[in-house]
Amino acid sequence: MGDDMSAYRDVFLSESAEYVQSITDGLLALESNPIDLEPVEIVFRGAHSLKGMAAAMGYARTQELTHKMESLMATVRSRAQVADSTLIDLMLQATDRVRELIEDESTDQATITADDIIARLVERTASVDAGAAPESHQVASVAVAAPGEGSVHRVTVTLEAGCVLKGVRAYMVIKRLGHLGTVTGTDPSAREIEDEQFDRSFQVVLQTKATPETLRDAVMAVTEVEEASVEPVAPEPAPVAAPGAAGGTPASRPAMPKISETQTVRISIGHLDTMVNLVGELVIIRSRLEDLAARSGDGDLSESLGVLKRVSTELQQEVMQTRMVPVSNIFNRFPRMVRDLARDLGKDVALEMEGLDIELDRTVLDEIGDPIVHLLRNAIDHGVESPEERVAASKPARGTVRLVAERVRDQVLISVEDDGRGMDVDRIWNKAVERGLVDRASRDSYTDNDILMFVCIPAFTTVDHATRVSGRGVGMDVVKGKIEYLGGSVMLSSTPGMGMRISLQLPLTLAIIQALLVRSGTRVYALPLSAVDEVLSPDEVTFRTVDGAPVVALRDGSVVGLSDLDELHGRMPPEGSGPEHKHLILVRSGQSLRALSVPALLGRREVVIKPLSPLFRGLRGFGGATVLGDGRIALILDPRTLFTREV
Amino acid sequence: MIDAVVNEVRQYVLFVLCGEEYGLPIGAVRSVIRYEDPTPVPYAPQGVEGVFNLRGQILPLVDLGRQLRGAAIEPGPLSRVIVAEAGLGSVGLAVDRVCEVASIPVDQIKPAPPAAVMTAMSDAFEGVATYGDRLIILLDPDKALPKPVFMSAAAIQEGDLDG
Repeated sequence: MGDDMSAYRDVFLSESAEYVQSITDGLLALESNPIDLEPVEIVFRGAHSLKGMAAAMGYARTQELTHKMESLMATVRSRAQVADSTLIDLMLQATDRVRELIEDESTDQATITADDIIARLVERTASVDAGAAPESHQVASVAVAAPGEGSVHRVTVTLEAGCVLKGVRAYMVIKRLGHLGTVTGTDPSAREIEDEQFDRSFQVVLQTKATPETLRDAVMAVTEVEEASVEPVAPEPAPVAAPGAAGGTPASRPAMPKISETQTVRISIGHLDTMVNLVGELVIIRSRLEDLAARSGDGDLSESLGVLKRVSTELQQEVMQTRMVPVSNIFNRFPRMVRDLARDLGKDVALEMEGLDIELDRTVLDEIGDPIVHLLRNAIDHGVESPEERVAASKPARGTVRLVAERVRDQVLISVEDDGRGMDVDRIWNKAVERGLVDRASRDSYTDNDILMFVCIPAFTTVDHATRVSGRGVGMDVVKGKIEYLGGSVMLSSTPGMGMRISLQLPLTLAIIQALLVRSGTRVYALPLSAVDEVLSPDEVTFRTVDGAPVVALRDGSVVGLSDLDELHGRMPPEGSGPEHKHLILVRSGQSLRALSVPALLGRREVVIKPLSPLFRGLRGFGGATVLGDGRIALILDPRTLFTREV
Repeated sequence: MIDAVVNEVRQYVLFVLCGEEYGLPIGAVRSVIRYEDPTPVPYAPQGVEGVFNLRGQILPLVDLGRQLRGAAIEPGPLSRVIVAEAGLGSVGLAVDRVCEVASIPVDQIKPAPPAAVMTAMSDAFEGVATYGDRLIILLDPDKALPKPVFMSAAAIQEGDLDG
């Protein structure tokens, strides 16, 4: 029994979190456009659903609070009062309290009450003219609104004859209809639909306010749906005229979770990690076998290994896929945070977010929340000026902070941009000179972006807390450290007076990458394939020097800097092995392209990235290490730091 | 009862470096493996010889001889790597030879004599203990390790010249 209850609790917790989020989103949307009734509806329904769920779980305090939230929103919904900023504030606070209460009640504690908030909610609800205010009236209107919403429709859906993933398509249909109303039943049952135990057609019964056309359009929008028809269903005995149906709502509720329950399984991240590790070991063993097979020349063995390779590659992709989570999972909480922060600081800031559906490995995503919060804080606190200052500088009073996720090759780029005052390169430069980090005379050898990166040097910022280096450096070393630990990199650019942009470049996943293996003497290195633009033979290019530094001129006329792998690692290349006798790899890192000369290429290989010990923290040029098929270790070259020994 | 307090013992893994005997608290030792040449890591912090593969985990190898005595150990059939847990994670410590696990009564442990600790690594010595007729130098595993290096100002400029 206890297990049963805890299983329900998990479902409740995950679903309630979604409702809390949608209430928050709705309130923020409402704040930006107080006359829009759609977000009112979202908030109202969210509170209503939470109330029902809390009642089903026996969480009385949550139930009462959400009930009062619902009542207040009902007055907004009926246009008895307007959602001004104090109302939004109150509702947001109430939402926070709901989250705390759920936490409290779900762990069988009783440390939190909501009496203060409830009193304020009631007061605000009652502030509407006396006639509309009495609570009994509210309850009645809610009760009527909930079960009586719209009418019951039966939707008959026929999938295309060639449809391969019937279960998935059906699930999509049911999910979409679920957005438009409350699905009360399916034929065959949800379980049977999931198991594809239907021919081509199935039926969904739902209660909705949407028109039959809307329902049909929604269903037809799902891929591989051939036909959908909607017919009204005569009301079942007395659902409409049930003013006391508040208790009936939770009863109809369980239909919803059932559907999602059958389609998804919650797995602890620990299991996924173990699976990733095991798949990693499998990949290592596979390449070891491949080495052996290549040496033995056994055709049958190679063939079987080919199959093993295909299967294990697919397995690996699947496992990695299970760990991918859209960035919206963490981005969702930022609008609220930005709003609160801007208000505290007396700033007027709009947050724009893009690329919410970009997916990242769960472990990466878990780690980048704090760095992004930090960047957003910096942008609002130090980047965006006060409204007065902005107007004086002929900028719109409201500042804009943009948070953008985008996919670039096998990496994800997350940028925080603002249109604030930007960073002052000269001030940072002077500070660096003062701190003895650089020689004043060497100014020409640094680009502006190089200088901006100084704010990421630990000693640079922490020592100078008071002036905060144009106010933007605080904690940047921590951000940079975290991102680099994840195998990513940080890039800064700034236009004084116009704003700045900080980009975090992150690997899609941490564990396995495609790499080009190169050899120097007995040492083997792995270069991530994502950074390899081209592999050239020496006779395809012309070797030159510019200002004493070696460069190569490519066929297309462009000239790129040339580095030698041995020399980068502090070793003198053997006599008579100039770059003309080596292979050239064009390595791309961000915007820059460089040629790397290596003595020998060993080919392409999938490698499992193993982190290097913290003892190597501060070591530039390597992004980890990997174990090769023969058990040897290859260091993984980090294209971003390979060519520079600077910070 | 009183006896139990008086006779409290601590267990140490004893090993030999340059002819002297050292001890590491057993709680800090994960395993002992045969010495194998590590894979060198360019620009590794001083004292870190490279990395080695311990059942799929890649760990740094520190030559304790070089680290504590300024003289690298000479790899031979008796050379061992003690895999120790330190604040920075697991680390391999290369030593000349591993002897035994010894239970040393607490009252046998004395602070290291000042004359013996006038080196840069003096922090690393937790004390000395007499064990039978042997003198054991007890190590603090965390302090016996090289420090990770952050790029210094000098390194930045050097790098700038290189680039």
